[in-house]
Amino acid sequence: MNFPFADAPAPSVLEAITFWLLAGMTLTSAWFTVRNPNLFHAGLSLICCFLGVAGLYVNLGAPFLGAMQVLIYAGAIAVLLLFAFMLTHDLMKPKDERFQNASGAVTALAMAAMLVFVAVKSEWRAAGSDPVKFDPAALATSYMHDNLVPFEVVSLLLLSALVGALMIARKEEAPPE
Amino acid sequence: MAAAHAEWTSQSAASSLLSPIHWNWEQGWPLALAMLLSLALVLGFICVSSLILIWAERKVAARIQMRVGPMMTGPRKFAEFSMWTGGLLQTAADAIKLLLKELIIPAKADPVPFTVAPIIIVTVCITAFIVIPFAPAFSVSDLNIGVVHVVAISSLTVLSIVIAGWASNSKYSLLGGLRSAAQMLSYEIPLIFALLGPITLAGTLSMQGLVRAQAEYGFWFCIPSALGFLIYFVSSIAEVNRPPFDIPEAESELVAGYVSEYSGMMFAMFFLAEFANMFLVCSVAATMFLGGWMVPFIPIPQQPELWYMLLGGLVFFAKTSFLVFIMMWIRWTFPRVRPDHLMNLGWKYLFPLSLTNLVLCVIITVLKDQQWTAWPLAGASALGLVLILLCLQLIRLPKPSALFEPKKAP
Repeated sequence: MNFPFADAPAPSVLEAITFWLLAGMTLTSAWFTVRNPNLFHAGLSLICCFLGVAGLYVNLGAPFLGAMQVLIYAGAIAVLLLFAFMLTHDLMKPKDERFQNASGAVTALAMAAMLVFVAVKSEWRAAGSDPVKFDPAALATSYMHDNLVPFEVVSLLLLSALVGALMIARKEEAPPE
Repeated sequence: MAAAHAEWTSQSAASSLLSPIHWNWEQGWPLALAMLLSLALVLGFICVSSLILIWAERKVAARIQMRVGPMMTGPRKFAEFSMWTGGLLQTAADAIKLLLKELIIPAKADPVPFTVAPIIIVTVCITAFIVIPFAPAFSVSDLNIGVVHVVAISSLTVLSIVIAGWASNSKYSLLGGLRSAAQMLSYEIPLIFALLGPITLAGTLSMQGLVRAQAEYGFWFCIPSALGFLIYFVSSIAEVNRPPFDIPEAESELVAGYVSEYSGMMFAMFFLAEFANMFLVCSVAATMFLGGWMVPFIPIPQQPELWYMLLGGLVFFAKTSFLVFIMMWIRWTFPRVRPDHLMNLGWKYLFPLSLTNLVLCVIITVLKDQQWTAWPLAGASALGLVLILLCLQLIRLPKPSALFEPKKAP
């Protein structure tokens, strides 16, 4: 088995330290997200996890992706989650966990096996000694010029999801007399 | 124009300060050290400026209400001179009082989130200040995603407020947290869309780059994006939870909203963050719409010049302070908005208008690419704005005042 990044440049000490700190933070908070019986605390751990992933993106030289991760996941989606928790009763009561434990463990193992398999099998293109400098304009060209049609299709999909959510959440109107 | 190439203005504050020491400050351990130094500078700056802003807020409030405000704390001679020089040490005294007070964590509160919330709000605030260009070649780091960084990091402020509201385990705090989550998530959208105008015009996300782009255009971006400036200013008042959009901490209904249960220094941290955030949104507005540190009528020199850096810093602070003053003025003049009115204003007026503004900015950008010069461009922007206003008249939107009338019973 050949290691994916065998020919990539060795990371500097600073990068290595940041990586291990961030990886530890992400994994620990992910564990708490899954295992904490208090939903609100689990939500907070999830935000820590999102922030750790954002830090990893920045460490890998993709600051824009990191900022978007913070803006969309930690800043908007997680806050919406917390918002929903606040409107929920009985947050603190743990439910019957035995079935969830077993099925959760199986799913997690299967996912991990799949990810490791894909990571090892796929052909990684290491950037070599001179990594590509990130440029927001290149990203914009890719979205708005080269891949415009798929981009618009995805936005249509999101739009229909929004309308669907509206239909589900809408109050039933009284029939006209 | 030559000013567009004044790339030296993107230098970090640390390397400007430490330029007499010949060392490569741009990578490795020295860079980490330089960053820590700049962050410490920012922290110090935030604390001192908040102390001054709180004093200024009390003085402006006093002037508007025809009082003199705090006069007794500070040098007596100064207080005898005028009301604007009295009570200079009032906030310092308040800060010492808050430091000495006991930190009370309510028995039924959730202790860890309760303690973490004020820490998050201050951390977020400091981190957002990283890209603010205080002067030419004087921001902690001129990231090429500067504006996105500010917006992304500031969006975590609401997190701290929601955590504080929940962890206090009090109905007032919880309601305050819920209201703030709804308000800040809604107003983030017109805010970002208003910022897109200047970004389109400049074609960059870097804060220093935005200032240089305004030098290149020959006018401030508040001319083509006047509507955007207005929308940004209104939504940023809502983002920092200041009156008239302070429904998360409306004292007449919610005691103090999410800060009800906090005491001592933890309360002070929320207070500090509020004023630092006010300074932050005003400095972003000054940078993106009012030309930042650009000194009027003097072109940006091609090489680093100390006098230009100092003058630019002064200009930046003058513009930011002016905007902060307007925010205070608004606070003490307008009554508080009702929550549903607030949502109406954000979603039905500010958001569509910010889209219109974006279209106008795109047109101006295209004209600029056609080699139009400053005066025709400014004229075209003004014409566009008039056209937008005319269209608004034609489609007869309900007047904003109609928002504030009670609904008729069916």
